[in-house]
Amino acid sequence: MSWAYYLTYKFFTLIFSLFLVATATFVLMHVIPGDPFSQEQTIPEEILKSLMSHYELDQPLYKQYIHYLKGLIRFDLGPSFKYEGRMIQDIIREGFGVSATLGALALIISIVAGGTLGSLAALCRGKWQDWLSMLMAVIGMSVPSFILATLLQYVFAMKFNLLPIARWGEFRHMILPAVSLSAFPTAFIARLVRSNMVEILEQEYIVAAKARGLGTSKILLRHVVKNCILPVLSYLGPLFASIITGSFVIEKIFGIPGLGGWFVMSITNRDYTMIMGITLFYSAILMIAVFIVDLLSFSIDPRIRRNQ
Amino acid sequence: MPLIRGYVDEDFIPQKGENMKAAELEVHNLRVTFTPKGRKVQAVRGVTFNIKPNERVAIVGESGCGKSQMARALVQLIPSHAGKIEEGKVLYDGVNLLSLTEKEMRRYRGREIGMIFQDARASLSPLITVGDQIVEAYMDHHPLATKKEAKSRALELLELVQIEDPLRSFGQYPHELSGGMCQRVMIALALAPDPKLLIADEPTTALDVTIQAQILDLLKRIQEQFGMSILFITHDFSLLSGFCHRALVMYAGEIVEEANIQELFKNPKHPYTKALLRSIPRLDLPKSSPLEVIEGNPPDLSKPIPGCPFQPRCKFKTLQCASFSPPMINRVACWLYDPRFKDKYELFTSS
Amino acid sequence: MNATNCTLPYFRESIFRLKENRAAMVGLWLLIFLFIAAVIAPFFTPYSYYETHLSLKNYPPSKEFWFGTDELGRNVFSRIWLGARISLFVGISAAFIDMIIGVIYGAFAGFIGGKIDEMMMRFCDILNSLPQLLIVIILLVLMGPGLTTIILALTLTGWINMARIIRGHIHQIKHLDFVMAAKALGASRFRILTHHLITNAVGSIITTVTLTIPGAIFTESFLSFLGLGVQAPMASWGTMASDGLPALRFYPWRLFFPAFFISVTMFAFNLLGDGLRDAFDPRLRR
Repeated sequence: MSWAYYLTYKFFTLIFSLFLVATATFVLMHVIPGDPFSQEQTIPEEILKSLMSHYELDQPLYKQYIHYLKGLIRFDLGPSFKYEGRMIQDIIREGFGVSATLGALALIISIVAGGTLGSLAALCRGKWQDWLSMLMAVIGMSVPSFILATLLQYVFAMKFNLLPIARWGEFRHMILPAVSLSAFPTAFIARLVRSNMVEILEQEYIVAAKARGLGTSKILLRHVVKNCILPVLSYLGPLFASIITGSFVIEKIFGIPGLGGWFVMSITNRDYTMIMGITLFYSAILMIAVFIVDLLSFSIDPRIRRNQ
Repeated sequence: MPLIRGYVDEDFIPQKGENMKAAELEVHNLRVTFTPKGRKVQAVRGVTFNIKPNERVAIVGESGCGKSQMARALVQLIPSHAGKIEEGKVLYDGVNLLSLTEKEMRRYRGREIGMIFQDARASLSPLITVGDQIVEAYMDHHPLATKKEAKSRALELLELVQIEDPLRSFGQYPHELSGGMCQRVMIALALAPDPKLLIADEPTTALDVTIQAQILDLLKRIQEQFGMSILFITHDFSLLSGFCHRALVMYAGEIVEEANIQELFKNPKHPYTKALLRSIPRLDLPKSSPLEVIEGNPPDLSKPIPGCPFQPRCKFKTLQCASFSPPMINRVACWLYDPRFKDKYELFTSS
Repeated sequence: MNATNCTLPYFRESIFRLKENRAAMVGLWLLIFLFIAAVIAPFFTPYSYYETHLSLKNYPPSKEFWFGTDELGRNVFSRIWLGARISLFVGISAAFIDMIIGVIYGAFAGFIGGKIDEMMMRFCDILNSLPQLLIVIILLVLMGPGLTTIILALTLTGWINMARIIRGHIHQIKHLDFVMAAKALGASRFRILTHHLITNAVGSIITTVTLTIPGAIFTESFLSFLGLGVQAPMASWGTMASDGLPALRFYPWRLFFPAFFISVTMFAFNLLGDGLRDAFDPRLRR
């Protein structure tokens, strides 16, 4: 299967999925009984009417749908219900930069730390480094990120005053949140890398290379690394998702003005358009990330090419 | 009664310094245990032998008798989580390989002692072309060489191992080659650093009979041309004649007999060897003759074995075979050949 | 070849291997302890989970209140065990429902094969690509938080994993034994399929369910942390942690205890699940 074919296929799947999500979001919004205002205290009839027309809620459904889709293409997600005059897409623009930085840092930490830990465990198989690394990995997978966050906050910020408790601005503000976010992915990647590496190291050609007098580092570099990257690559999609969802709570705990924080606020405020808008945005980001990862895997691993 | 397997060969006096490219390997009382899933299996139980320069020595034995594990133990290729070398010395040119650190060991692997394996394709990295692998192997051991030199040497080697179109094969991946070609590539790889001893662990087992013969032939030529020694490990007796000078018969982790090839076939001493040779189907006997089999099963290597390991299945066993392990005397480890028991031997023999 | 003859030794061996795995046993005993404690521990204290003692707000752990009191003077100890019941109940029932839906869906897809199978799996892929937590959150927002909503939200996409595994198993055995057995024995195809299915799949099912539970507990506490969890006066560990967060500086025990128990429970399930996975792994059979 050629690259171009794969690319087109995956691209159209992406578009289709995005379309599906948008529609599903729209349906959810409008199928659930009641409108966004029914939870408020009673609003006088005219104001309700003008609000409805302002938000175009009095139009027939299919028209709303078309308008909605058109808006999406222009990246116009409409106004927020609770914050007068603010368009959702502006809020997203503001918050995303912050969240993206935090997320990127967490991503890098996860891959680097996880890869190192896993490789160490695989190379020292059976010895204490292996046992300890895997114990740490299980713990990392068991302690929820927000729990770790509060723990770190308590120890490093409140008790010992080493790092800032909250807020955002300089690099030192990023450390605790990024570490909390990356705990689970690091652990997962470590286990993944270890089990994959152990399998590779048992292969005949590794023994044969060793019999030829190759040193460990050379063996690693030439024969092992390429194979190990693949499962990590396939985990990148869920990794993204985990970091995104993790950011909700982490940003809340550390008072970081990122998109996750806005999302949580919109939930608390029952700001439906914002909830929908941010959800759509995140879904799109996630799907695009998976799309890119798929392309990367395809170009690296000949096996996928053969299977397809 | 403590019994140590000692090996004394009155016939051969080592000729040191005679051949500059010579290798001499002496193995003394090698013991290796393996630990699959918590059990402890004694795979190699006190093996002693040597290999002289320019010699082709075979180790024959059935699957599971410990010969492959022993071969890997020689160059410390047993990973610590899989097993352990309990005892023994492996003297190569006087240096005990088992006492070396990993770093020191690396200087011997490949350069002095090469190794080829049974599954050739699996022993080649699937992600790198065959030619590049040889080039890498060459450059690892000749750090001053340029890539060009390495490449030309690689092509030479490919030709040497009788690959028809060296240039074309150079750019192919292992999965694109046949089993026989992969094996030739592996031989080329092993030859690249110019070793003095080649350990061949069942290199022909996975190949067709005709290819087997070709590979054996190739190994013989290369050995004579380069003045190497070969340690050839196999379970197939029929491969030995015409190929090696000497053979050691291995059973249940121990060497039970050792002889020059002609002697071994004409006059096998150990009951196991005799039974093995008898079990080879022969074309000159009538069709209805029953196939000779060796009754019973090899012993469980996770338990200690008192006495001779072959004893439960031996037709000639004497009273002490079960309790006392026979030492290697006159190149055979069997009480029947111990001169002290010569009279008793007459008594208990059945054929 | 009797169906029961072949299955029992396999299971016996797996259970034996599990018992040998010390880590898994630690996990198992921890869980047993937790379960028992969840049932009987509240009887060790006279103060129930909903009794408020407004004069004893935010007291640190003491002889009276072993885990201290919260902002309404309620006994944290009892609330922890209430939270245990709720969190465990949510986790286990969600995993269980996932299993049922997943097995049915996957078995159906696997048996049918062909185009329908492909379509069903494609549907799964698309459903999977939608970020789970986002859907969950939206649902909770729209339907209002509560116990049933949470379980519903958790099971919405959780079954996909199980479905894939079951379908994979069926495809495997379809290829192997189906053809051979049909030729050799003439026994009923259905019988052979189900027999092999039980042998191979049950191990995976048990393992997957065990490993789904910590995820469900995590998600539940996560949602509670966001305010979408069970409502007062009921408490899950997540809501207790969420309530304890603002008081972290001065009354850390209010966050510490639920946090500790969430982590330990997830840890125990993970250990047990890993042990089960290794115990049932067909590659490790002797």
